[in-house]
Amino acid sequence: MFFTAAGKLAPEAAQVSGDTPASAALGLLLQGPKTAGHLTEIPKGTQLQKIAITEHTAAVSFDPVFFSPGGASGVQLRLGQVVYTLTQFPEVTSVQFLRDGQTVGLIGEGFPLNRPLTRDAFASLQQS
Amino acid sequence: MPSRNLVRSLAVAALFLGNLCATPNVFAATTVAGQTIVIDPGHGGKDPGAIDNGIQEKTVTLAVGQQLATILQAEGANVILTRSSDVNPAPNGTVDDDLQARVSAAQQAHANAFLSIHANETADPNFSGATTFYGPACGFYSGTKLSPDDVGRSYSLAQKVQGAVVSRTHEHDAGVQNAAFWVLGNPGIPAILVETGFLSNKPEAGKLVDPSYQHLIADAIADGVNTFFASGDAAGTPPPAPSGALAGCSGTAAKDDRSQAQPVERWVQTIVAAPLLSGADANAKQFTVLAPFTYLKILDQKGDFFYVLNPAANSPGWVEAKKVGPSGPPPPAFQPFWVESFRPTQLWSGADGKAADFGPLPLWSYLRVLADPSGPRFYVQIADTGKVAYVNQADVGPSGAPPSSSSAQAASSKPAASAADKSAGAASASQPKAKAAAPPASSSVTVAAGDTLSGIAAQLGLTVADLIAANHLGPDGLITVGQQLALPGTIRSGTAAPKPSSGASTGVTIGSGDTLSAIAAKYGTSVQSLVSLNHLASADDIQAGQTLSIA
Repeated sequence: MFFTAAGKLAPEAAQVSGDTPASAALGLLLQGPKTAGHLTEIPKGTQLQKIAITEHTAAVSFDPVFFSPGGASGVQLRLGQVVYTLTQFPEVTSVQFLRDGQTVGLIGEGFPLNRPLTRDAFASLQQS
Repeated sequence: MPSRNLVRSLAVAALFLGNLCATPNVFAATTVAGQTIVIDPGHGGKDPGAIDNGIQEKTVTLAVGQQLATILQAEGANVILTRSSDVNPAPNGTVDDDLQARVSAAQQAHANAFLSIHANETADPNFSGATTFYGPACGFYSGTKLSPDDVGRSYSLAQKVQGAVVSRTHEHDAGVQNAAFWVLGNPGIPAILVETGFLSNKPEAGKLVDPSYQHLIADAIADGVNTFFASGDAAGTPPPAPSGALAGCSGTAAKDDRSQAQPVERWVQTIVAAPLLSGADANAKQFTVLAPFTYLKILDQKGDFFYVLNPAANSPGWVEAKKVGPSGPPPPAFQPFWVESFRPTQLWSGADGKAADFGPLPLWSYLRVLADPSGPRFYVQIADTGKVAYVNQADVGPSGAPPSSSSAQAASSKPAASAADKSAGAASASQPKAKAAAPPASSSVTVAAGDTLSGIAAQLGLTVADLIAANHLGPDGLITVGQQLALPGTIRSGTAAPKPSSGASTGVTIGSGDTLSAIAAKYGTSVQSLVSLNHLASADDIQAGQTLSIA
């Protein structure tokens, strides 16, 4: 899973098993960080509604809590946490965010959520 | 700052000399003097932006923006503020309208720089400092694409402003970052979004509402903007931006500023399997055989041969002119992709509000998106029927996967009405049903030498996929000279919307328990059409025994 530290994405290791490891990892991500110094930008109470992976795109539906407004860095990190966590798995290269099963236009400072996002969109948030 | 004072003096001298010698702007490129700069205080009005430690982002952005405007005006810049009070630039519009109004202000002013001012927020209360964002080449919600030079200029401006703000404020350097924020999709204009500091950091939040600190930030931003114009990056070729900012859209960026001075790239597409040869001679050594419809970049031409680059293999070679179609612009980078409808929705003849309603689309229909979406609707081909139409992006989700192979094959062979049947459930064979408009008897075209499927499609206002589907061509779309191609009845060729085959003015008598949506589904029309056609007050305004016009 990817949490945050000092404004960047911070990886945290955990063992997941089962048929859908990406889904399991997302569940752990929502539970929050276990490492001291790590934080999460995912709003408290966010509910994962559905995750479906087809042809390397993970369609992830959250409840509206996930899409709460926030500052540029907070929102970018929030999206980056999910995208980086899911794209660790070879079956996922991009993530389409859905709110209550529907596509969302914009979030934060006018960031587009209408198309699947890859790690490229969050490259600035990687720890150097 | 001494260097800026010097720059400022030079600016004044330049203006003075400019007036004296009647050669205005002769030195203007080295300072902000004479430059048109659009300052965009983020959020405003009903949109407060981020809120933390009791501070609304919109108040900080306006205060810093106004101070910055005063400073740059004093230095001779022509300054435009996208807002100068607590309002949205598009007060009655949507979020999209608001953001686009800010971009439009810069475009209409032919601005030399666009500076969007913001304040940041994160869950980490200890994190502080400024961050400056610049936009990537593509990925904007508005569909805007930027050239590599646009991105490079914005990156240069971002670095200079970020550097100045960090050195003047002595705050933590949260870095220059790349993100596809709407306002940064501002073609031809160096555009940045400055996050002046974190409202979530209590000490920094306190400073951000202090007018003297706001002035310090504004002055630092002005420093960075001056450095940018002094660097020559504004007018010349900027250093390249990090590759990540250009990733994912190679070949799709907007035309480079320099493209007019460069020879235009010409490409051809093979129309048959074509040998790639070592020389301009049919007997030359054969490197490989190119598949039909391979796009090739023309490097040279000799006699009846083109010297071409096969970009897929990055290998040059010669190809016979008669084995390729007419030359044209580079191939579109757009790759069709699959989506699936996740709620009942309508099909439309076009992307705008005037488009005709083609009737409902059954839930969980597989759709292949055929064109780069630039608006709120996708241009799609419906897997079940092979028909093409527009559908609202919001009503479909990514499927990634094409439908199973049996239904994929059905795309070209299944009766067009099958999808409508499935959704209507009870529609029997004798009922009128939605049906793809049959092509007129004469609607075929004979393939001539040099024709390409894409060329034919473009001439007729169709897509390659339309032709492949209508002619049961294989996935490689192989055509041969002399072949007759049937033309599909599509919206692009101006064919009327699907209608019940029984023709106009069909009447249907409403039975007990009928709903308008069931009737609409059954007859391949929409609730909306039925309501307007029958002058109903609403979709519930029907009763058993009433006769409805269908077409």
